[in-house]
Amino acid sequence: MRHTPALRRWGALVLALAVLAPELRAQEVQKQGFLAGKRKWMFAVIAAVAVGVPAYIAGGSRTVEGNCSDRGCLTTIAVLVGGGAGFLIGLEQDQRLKRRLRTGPTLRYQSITIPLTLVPDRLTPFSGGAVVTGIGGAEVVYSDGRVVGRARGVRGIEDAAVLEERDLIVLATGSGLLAFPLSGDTVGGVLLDRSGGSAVEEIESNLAVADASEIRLVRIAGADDALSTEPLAAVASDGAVADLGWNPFRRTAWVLVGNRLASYAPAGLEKLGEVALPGEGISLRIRADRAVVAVGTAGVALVDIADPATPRLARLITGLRFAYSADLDGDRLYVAAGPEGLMVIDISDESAPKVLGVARTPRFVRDVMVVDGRVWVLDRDRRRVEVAEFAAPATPGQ
Amino acid sequence: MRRIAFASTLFLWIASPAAASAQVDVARAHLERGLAFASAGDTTAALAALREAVRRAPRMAEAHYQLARLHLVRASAVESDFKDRLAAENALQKALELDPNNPRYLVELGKVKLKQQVRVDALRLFNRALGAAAKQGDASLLADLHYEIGAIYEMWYEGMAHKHLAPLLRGPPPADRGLHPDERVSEFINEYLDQAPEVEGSGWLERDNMMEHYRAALRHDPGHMGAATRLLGVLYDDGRFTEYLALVQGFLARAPDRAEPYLFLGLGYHAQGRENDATEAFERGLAFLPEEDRLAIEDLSEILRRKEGEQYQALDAGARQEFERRFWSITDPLYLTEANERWLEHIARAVYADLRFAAPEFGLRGWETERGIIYIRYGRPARIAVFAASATDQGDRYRLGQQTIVWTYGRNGPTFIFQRQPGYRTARFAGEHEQLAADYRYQQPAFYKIPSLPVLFRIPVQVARFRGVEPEEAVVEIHAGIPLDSLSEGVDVKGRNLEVGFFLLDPEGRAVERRVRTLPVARAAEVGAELVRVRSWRLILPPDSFYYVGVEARDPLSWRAATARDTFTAWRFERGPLQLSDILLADFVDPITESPLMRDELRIRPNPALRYEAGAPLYVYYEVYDLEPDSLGFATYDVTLAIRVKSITRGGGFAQLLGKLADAWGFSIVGDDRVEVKFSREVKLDDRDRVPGWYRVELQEAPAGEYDIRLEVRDRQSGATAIRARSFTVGKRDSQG
Repeated sequence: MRHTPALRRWGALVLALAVLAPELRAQEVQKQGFLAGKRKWMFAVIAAVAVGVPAYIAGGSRTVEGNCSDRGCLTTIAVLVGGGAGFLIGLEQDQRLKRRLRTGPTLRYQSITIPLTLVPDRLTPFSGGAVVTGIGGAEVVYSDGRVVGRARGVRGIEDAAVLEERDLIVLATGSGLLAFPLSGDTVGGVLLDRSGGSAVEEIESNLAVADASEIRLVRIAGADDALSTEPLAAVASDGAVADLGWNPFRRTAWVLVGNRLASYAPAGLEKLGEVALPGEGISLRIRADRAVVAVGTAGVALVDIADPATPRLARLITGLRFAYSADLDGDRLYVAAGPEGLMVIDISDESAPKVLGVARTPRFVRDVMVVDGRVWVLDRDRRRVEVAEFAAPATPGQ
Repeated sequence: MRRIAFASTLFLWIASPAAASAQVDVARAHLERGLAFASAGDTTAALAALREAVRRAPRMAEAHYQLARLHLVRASAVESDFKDRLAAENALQKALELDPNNPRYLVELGKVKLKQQVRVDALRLFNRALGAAAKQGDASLLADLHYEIGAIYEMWYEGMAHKHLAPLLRGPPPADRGLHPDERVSEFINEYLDQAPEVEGSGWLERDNMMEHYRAALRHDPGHMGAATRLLGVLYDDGRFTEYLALVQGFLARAPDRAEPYLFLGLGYHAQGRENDATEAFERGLAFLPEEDRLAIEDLSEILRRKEGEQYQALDAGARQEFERRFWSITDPLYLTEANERWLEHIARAVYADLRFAAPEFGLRGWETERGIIYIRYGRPARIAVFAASATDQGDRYRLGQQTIVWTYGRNGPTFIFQRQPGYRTARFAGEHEQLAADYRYQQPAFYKIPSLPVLFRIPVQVARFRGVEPEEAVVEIHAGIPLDSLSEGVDVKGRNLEVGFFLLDPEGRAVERRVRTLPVARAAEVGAELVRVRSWRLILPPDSFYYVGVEARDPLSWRAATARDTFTAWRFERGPLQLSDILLADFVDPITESPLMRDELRIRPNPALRYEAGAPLYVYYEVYDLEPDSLGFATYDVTLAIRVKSITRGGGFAQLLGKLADAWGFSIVGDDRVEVKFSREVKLDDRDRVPGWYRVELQEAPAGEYDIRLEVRDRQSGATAIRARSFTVGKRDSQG
């Protein structure tokens, strides 16, 4: 084959068109990024050049005799083989991107990244920030990025509650309830009681504590190193309690157990009502008259809790692989979707919730909460918290 | 003639459909019979009936389909066993000719392709069936289809997961010991892996497709056991236990009478350290298992040395059960907890092995495969690496075209290399690694890393034996040093308690004594906080009795624990000639009275660790029994106390080498008697059968090392001699001790 200048010019033009043609679809570029769908061509070209050029140079030496020993044949075969291999590698890259983008466009956002020392599991908000609990203890994370350790070495922390009036963090473990100072340099804590629990929540300066067999209400008595608990009420539980919530406006405690959400009056823990959920409840957040319940593979359930005696399942957001946690800010739902990232969903249209975007920078989003318009994202695998402010509405790619 | 021809034609025209219909009815009857025979397990009769159905009604697609299914059931995945697969394929092709878009036929043909290891074609057929099944809205079929497709992707993913590239200019890791005779295999392999780059994201797409299809199967059929099982394995490997447990709970709700959900639940709970929940789940799961499977999971032979394993296998059912009870009782790492963590870990490993390494195409349960056996013995490897199929045989023709899978448990642990044919689930030992595994099994049949015991410290213990009040009694003292500093380090909680326990078991592993109490512990950071708390237990036991003893301490908040395990035989101190108690080494022995005549008149602080700081005094306490008095009631005896250096602790490297040479050539003090004291004592016995003795030894210039202390007592009146000895160590001047 003779490599005429004209042939080279036409070849370059064809390649350029193959690479640049999708650029003409501006919407595609905006949504998926410049390289989306074009990696196969780019890799094909790069590999073809990487293999073809050395073959072209080596073909000039004519040390090998055979059916395809001339420069032209050798170069052609090298370009085809290299280009083919590059095409296949690029094709897989494109398919990976396409798969990732199927859940929604990538959300780009500004955030403060706060590294943690423990493997985090849950976020518990307070006015100055959040308490992060996980394997190996707890850390108080302030909005300005400061991190203070608490409960170092404590294992099996199931849940945390913050009693700001008493400047206390209470941790529920299988071996007991522990209290630590919320602020200050004192890191030591106190064993409150040995009963422990799987969930804990502050209820009007008291504590609701739940385990597999009962839900109890206790008061914290004493001060400093002489803290203890005094029982106020107790009631049997129907099963292992996954989470507790408190609605201060309706003065109602909410208990997430199995596939049910139940309401209790704080005095005496009298059960008021219950609603069935489409799946096992994982976590619960109370937002005004709505309970936001992450129900794993079943998605996120929004329960109307305006009337504690008759809670009802108002909406179910599905299509998620697994919802670990969720929080609501107006009509915007934030879902901690584990390895899928953080999903931001606009639920203003009741008939058609819309995925505004997926934050894919975190490697494993285990928990999310919204405080004063800022979104706290807990990345388990990267061991960090991201505090982001999303513009309203969030724009993909911005 | 015309009339006859017309009548014949008319008759044939009327009779043919009827005849055909009759044939179809007959064929249907044969079909039903064939299915009945197949359900009863009589495949020969079923085959005959279905073949007859096909012969009678060659255009009945269902008959061809059922015939194909029967052939498929008979076919295995073994390459040479192709006749049934071929027959199945032909029958299905015929069925599809007659009913081209029937999703059930497409699924079966896909399964034939799977058995022929033609996965790409199988995937194509399954995807085609998916479209057809979606139109029909057949949820069960859709679930099966998604499961089959997911299984194909899983096979591809397994071939690509943990993919590494061989280091430059080196081939895949050698499996023959002879290639590196002077190096430990693990060091060699770990060094090799350090240079072998991992292919980032290898198999990611296949993995994602696999999980997507398994989830889809569960959406269509939440009780699909195959999809749930495979998905659980992936979630477990990823450490996604929230999702894992949610899936298992759902599985359990739909299949409460099956063993699998309980076993998987136990697996998840154990991984999270919820041992009591795991015990309950495993026990329920094992109760639901068929006897054969339950025995296989509980089988101990693979975690014993080969000979012991064979002896165990030879036991009858009753003896085996008793052996297992005793084995787990004695090896329980923590008697303080209700659960037996080691038993839980063993069951968890067997369940996981079946979940991830089973090869149903070869009729192998996971615990029967080679990787499964290694997993049961040693748990999850620290590193896994997979290398591409070899294009050369490297001197071993069985390695040609085989992937290499490396499992290593660290530089100081074992390493195993397997090989696997791409596209197959099961892997076999490569090269000499079967022999290496057998060799290592002799050295260490099993080791355990237990999730709920992240840190396990050692409690030093000193056991000392004395005569009881009566000569028929033996008194055994167990002195333990609870490492409060290690247990409380890094845990900033005031007012917490440690659980401390003392346990005595008989030779059958049955509990004889159990004493548990709580021990308040100050925070380690507090000034003056106690570093080690000495706890002592004094037991009166029958002489010549053998016991297992355990001392434990545990912090329920941090899950840190410390244990001691020892055995002893309570000595007999019968009346008779001179006898000597054990030597009790102590930190101090302080008389309470002016002239102590009995043990109670001395305050003794034992040294459980038998370790002294350089320059600290060493106290020795002992009792002499049955001295013979003279006519005036006095006993006279000679005491020789000798301390000998066993070995000296030297600094690293060069100092150690020089020291060893010096020891060998007699230029150091090792082996010399450094301290020997001889003296005599005269005591008035006053009908006492025993005389306590105690000494203080100054170790001022003693170098760090191991020492023996030897006590010899000679009764001058009777001429009898008794000797006792004990070892201790001296630490360096700046060591904590």
